[in-house]
Amino acid sequence: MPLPDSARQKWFAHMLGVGLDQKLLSPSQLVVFVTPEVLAHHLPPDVMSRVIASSLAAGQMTPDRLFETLSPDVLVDNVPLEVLWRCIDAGAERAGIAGEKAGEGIRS
Amino acid sequence: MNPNRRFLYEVLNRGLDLEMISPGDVLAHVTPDVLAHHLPIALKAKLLQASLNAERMTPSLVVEVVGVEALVEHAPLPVLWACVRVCVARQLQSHADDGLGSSLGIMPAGPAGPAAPAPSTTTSNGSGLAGVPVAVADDLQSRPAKPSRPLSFRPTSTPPRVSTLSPRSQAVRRGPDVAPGSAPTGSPTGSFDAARSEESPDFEIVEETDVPTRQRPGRLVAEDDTRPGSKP
Repeated sequence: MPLPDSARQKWFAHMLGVGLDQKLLSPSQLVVFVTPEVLAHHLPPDVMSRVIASSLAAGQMTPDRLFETLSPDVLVDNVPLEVLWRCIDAGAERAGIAGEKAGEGIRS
Repeated sequence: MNPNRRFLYEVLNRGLDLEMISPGDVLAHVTPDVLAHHLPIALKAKLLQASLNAERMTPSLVVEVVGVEALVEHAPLPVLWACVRVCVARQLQSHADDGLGSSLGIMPAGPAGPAAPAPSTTTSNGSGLAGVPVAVADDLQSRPAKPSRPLSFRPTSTPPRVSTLSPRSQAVRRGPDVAPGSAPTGSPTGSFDAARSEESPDFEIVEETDVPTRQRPGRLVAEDDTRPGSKP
């Protein structure tokens, strides 16, 4: 029996949120994966409208501003989870969590 | 707790809460060997005592007694991250199986990658888990296509059986439904003239003559048969 999609999305949103909080991820790193092209393809018109309106109001569009509007909850609702996972995994690798090889670091 | 461990704690804890990760998944990576090597003595004693009290030792009990916080504090981070990777890969595969992942559209291959789908099935550390949906797609592509023709038309199958029709048998063509009393549209003799037909005919057997069949050898009687009994 497949798990409800909401649980899966909640988990991904939490990973993204904590990753941003703990500085494993940053908006500028997110935008490398969640590219403008990805957003253009996947954001529904109402969300895209909010992004544009927010940037117009601020007179600038930066990754920080972009991901203020596109919160983790909004991202998991609209962006393919595979894309978000690559971003999270890359953050974990950068931080040294993933290690060179899972299993290394086990003291014998 | 440092940020990396805090991050892993949140990911694991929430994953367990949401049943994205099971205690069995955790124990598949945080093996008894890892526990034995990395847990402090006090925690190992607590685990043994709790198991003895419960008279069982299950992954749930281990995770419950040791606690996610202590696991994250003491187990090697790559081991825990490998567990997360496996569970995420399962979720992504399940997501794809549900048909919800079919509209992926644009997926960058990596930091410098274009917006095209990434062909690689492995991650930078070779675990191959991050690319599971791509691997699934590859697997689907590598499967041989099923023949679209029905079994009876496959070249290797037995040809359809055609019954023998005697040369003296007559066949008439079934014409369109005619009103009683009107002339039929077929040949005046009732025989079908195939040469004049433009459409594939529809036959109806009106008389069929048996084709002589060979007698079984056992029923043949030789001239010099001296056995008692009547001869044909």
